[in-house]
Amino acid sequence: MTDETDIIQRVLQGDTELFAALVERYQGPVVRMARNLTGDDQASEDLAQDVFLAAFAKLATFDPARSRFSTWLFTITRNKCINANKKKRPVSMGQLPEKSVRHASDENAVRNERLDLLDRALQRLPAKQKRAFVLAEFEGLAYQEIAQIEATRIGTVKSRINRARRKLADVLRRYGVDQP
Amino acid sequence: MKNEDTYRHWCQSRKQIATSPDFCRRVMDRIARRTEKDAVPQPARIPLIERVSVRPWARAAAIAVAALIGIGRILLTLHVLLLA
Repeated sequence: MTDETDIIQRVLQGDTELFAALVERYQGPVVRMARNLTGDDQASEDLAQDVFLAAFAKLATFDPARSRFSTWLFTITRNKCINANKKKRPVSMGQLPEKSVRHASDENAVRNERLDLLDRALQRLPAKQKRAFVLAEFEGLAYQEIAQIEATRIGTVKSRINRARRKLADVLRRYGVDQP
Repeated sequence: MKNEDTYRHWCQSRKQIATSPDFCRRVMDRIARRTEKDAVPQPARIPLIERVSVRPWARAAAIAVAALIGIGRILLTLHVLLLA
């Protein structure tokens, strides 16, 4: 990532337009992470913009010897998402639907319903489990990187991810997904 | 197997969240606005009271204006009371 370090150095020296290269590179993962952690399509891009603005403002504090730029950026995203989620009302248990009774002809509707069910189940997970799961499953980060972002041990990260996976599997089993 | 398929499909859909085509431009516009704001010359941002306090003549003028306003208010009050 020397290339990234060079870009950061040049941005810090006043070539602010070069920051666009970092935005282009990381906009997808940051927006996706914000969307998956907040469950809010509308607000996720605004939140991601705030992340890049904060990263630009604090760029001088980034230390390449301590972490990768992506890890640093994901940590900012994590913190912004925690703050955004604090302002929202929690999703209650009662909002999950009853077991659905549908016929094979409704295949698409059933599939969409299940995806929606998983979306809501993800948002209902305890915050720490949700973050570990999203970072591992959707962002494809290594356990070590997640541990660095979450400021915890690798073992803790692994157990949070496993618990999240088990809960999501339980939801699928309980609500309307028939075994063949 | 159905559960696994659903789970895999869901993970794929969550990984494919798209970003607006103008996202980068909007971020850079906000950064440019912030940079412009930060570039405003420092004296213009110093509060009036701070500027007055560092100049002896301005301080004297401010005290004189305040004293005059005070005297004026006293005279006005006396005038109203005596005529009532």
